[in-house]
Amino acid sequence: MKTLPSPLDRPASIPVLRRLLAAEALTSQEVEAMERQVRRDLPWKIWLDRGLLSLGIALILAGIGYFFAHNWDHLTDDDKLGMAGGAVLASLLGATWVGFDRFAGKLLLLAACALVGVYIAVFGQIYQTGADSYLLFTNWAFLIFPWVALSRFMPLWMFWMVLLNLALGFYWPVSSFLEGFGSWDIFRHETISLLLLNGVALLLREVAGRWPGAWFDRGWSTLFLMTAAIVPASVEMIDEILHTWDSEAHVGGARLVGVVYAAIVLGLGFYHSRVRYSLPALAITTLNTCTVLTFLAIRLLDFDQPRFDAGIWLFAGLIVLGIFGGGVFFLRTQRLAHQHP
Amino acid sequence: MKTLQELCLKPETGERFSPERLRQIEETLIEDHHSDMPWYLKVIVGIGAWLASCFFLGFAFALIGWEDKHQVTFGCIGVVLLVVAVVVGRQKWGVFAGQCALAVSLAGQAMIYFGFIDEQNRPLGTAMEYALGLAALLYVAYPGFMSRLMTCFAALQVTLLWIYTGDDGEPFSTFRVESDLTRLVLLYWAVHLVGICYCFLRPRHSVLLAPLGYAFIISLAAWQIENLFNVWTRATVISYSPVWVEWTFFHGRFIMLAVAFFVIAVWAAGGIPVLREKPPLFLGLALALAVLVWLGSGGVLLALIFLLLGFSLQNRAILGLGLLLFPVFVTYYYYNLNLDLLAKAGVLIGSGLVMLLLRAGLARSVFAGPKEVP
Repeated sequence: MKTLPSPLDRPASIPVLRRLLAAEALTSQEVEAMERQVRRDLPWKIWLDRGLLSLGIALILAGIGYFFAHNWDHLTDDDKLGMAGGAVLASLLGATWVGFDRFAGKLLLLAACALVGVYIAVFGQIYQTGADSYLLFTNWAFLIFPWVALSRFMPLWMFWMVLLNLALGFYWPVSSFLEGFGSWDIFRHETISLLLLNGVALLLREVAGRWPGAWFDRGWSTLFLMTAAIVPASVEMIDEILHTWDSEAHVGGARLVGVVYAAIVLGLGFYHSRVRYSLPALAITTLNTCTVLTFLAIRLLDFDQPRFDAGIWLFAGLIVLGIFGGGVFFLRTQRLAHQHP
Repeated sequence: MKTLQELCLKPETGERFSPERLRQIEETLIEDHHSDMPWYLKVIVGIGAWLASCFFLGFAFALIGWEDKHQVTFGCIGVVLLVVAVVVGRQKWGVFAGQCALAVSLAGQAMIYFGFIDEQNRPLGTAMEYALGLAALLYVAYPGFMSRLMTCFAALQVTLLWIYTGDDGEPFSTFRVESDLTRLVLLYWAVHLVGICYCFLRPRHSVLLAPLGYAFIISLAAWQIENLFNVWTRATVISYSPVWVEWTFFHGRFIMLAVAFFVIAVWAAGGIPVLREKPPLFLGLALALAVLVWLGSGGVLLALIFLLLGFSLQNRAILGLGLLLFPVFVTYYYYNLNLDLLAKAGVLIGSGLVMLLLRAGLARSVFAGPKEVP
């Protein structure tokens, strides 16, 4: 039978010692003596070492940036392109030299991917390509994809997803498909396409995470992708709810979106409570649901009506209390149900 | 890192803990763990409670209307709300009720200011007196962490406004005499720094005064950021003689920051015995601080204090604030240097090289590990 480790076997920390002092489990003399010991063991050397190294490198890089800013007008186009391309190459060679499996190598690869964007921007400035913003991000994402795929580095994958999101976000406002459409329709296309893009990415990440040779086991990327998927969905739902205030709007579309949104939320809730328990994921889903329900309550109470009285405020407060209270109750129940005895 | 068990069984005082005491400590830790809620759940609770409280306050406002003729009624309702908030806040009815009580308490305080302050007669002075009085009263009556922190922070910032603006005649139109202002500003800056040290460095002070300490920290950070945006800039020039007095007054805040940093560094290193043991090290630190004061990099020193304090107390909030403010103040410092781009590039690269040299020097001398015995 497994036994949980005693809290006394965890590393001592000053906040814990002070909590024990507040609970009168330790005296102030004891805490002061213990704090001195804890403070002596803190990784001062590593912190100071890394802090000075980071600050030194940051200042030198900023200095180099200022140097080029001073001389930018005197540089030829070839020099500018050469420098931007050289920076990409230098980062890539550095990553290869350090090794892609080491953290410094992965960071250098991330820097190389970011510098590709600088190269494209410089290229666009010199040759005045006049390309739309979405093309810059699409090309950027396309060019770095091989490095991203080979990197086995989740932050780089998330960086790539951000590029795709930006490309999609900038695409719809200039899309020829939506010529003549109003801003509300464009916004609807943006939210739905972002939901689909991030939702598919989330699904792929969850499937890939179950493969035997999966190299990522940290859950933060799931939360990142889930937030990226559910926030556009919630924004779209809220937008639909508020749009029904417009007398010319059709309520049917809002109902359909509502059904789809409810299905998404219930699916995520079921998956993260029954299949693969994750309290942070449930919290994100709950917060989004509570926000949407609050907007729905405000819409149904109709604050916009001319005969507006004090009772509506009181009623709205009670409803909000009920919505968020219910959400927190659900989360606490889940936490208790999955807590070790 | 040592475990709690190791600290209890081999304490510096030499007295080992009995098994009963160890069990008591263990039970306290388990209870603490169970009552603790993940931060994201607290955020959801907070959002819901504050939103609901806003609607309830909207209800109160809608009941009596928005006209100025009801000003005193507002104040009275504010007092009632504050009493209700204190009563609810003192009960153990869960985080949700606690957050509602906090929101109602803050709204009650705002209504008290609005209701009872005479706009024509010393409004700022009265507001400061009310703010300090309410902060002191609520610190005792309402033992919630956030309530204490927010009321203390409000009182500190209202006092700051009173210091800079004065309150002699028409509100916000007359300013204090420059020499008085300089003294008050230096005194208030010193109060902040002493307050931070007093509230955090001794564990027994920290148990009760941590919210006040955080309020001092946030107020000082806000003050320094307000300085960045020239919120408190005065058009007149203060002239003192001789010149060194003027220099001292001008750099007074930086000097105090350097002294505070030195005090915290000595404390973090282990106190006076360590200072006596390694005087060259602390002399070097004092010289480095003197250089920073001479260069006029005040905000950077403040961020460094937060970093040092946060790291030595293992306090993520203070450390995070320091990490956030440090690049802001460093960027601001270099951005505002009165030099052209090329000279700035030279200064930046030079500063970077100094940091790397310092790192190499520390690695060779101070942090060199003990020689292995063959």
